[in-house]
Amino acid sequence: MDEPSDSALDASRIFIYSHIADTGAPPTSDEIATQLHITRNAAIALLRTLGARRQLVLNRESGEIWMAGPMSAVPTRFRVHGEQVSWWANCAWDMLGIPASLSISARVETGCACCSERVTIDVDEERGPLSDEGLVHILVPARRWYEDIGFT
Amino acid sequence: MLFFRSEEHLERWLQQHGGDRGAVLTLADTWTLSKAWYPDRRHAGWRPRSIEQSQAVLESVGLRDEFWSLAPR
Repeated sequence: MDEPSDSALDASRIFIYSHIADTGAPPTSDEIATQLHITRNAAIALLRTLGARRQLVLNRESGEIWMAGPMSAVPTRFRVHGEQVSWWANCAWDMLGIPASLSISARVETGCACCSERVTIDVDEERGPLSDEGLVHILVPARRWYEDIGFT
Repeated sequence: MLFFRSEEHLERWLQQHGGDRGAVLTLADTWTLSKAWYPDRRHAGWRPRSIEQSQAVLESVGLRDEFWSLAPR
């Protein structure tokens, strides 16, 4: 099968990220096919190409979207609440990446990785986190982030 | 990439898990990095970055040491 065109990849990326922003979850390949008026196989080919180009991370079994950075399709310990919509973030960096990317104020709910105590962080669209209590630890050096992005 | 309430909690976790210490960012640093790293991908003009462009983003927010090097060895 031919590689999807750049315009098809752009259209799918814009739809995927708009869907996540509006609903909190990525679209399925069926929803992408319906939106773009293409077959499901063509939608799957688009996802595979976006995955190969590291613009998305796909679930290895289902082929559907797992991560659309900074958002996660599956529940994590990082929950981000906007005014109308909530999202799962992939990691502690991404819990701030979501309001940063969407240019919104948000409330982040997470827990300390050591003691599991629940922590709420209010984030202002302009000023960022309104508290500086807590820190983010990045274990994996940058050059190895994509060796196992789930672990990273 | 994990969140810890404090340096003390991070140190305790590293001792319990035997992990190496990586890089540590404050929430303010993480916000600055996020604003630089995550443009809104709903925009039509968004394009993926090259490794060199991503490295420049990291450097633009002061992350310049070996830990933040994206280039394969």
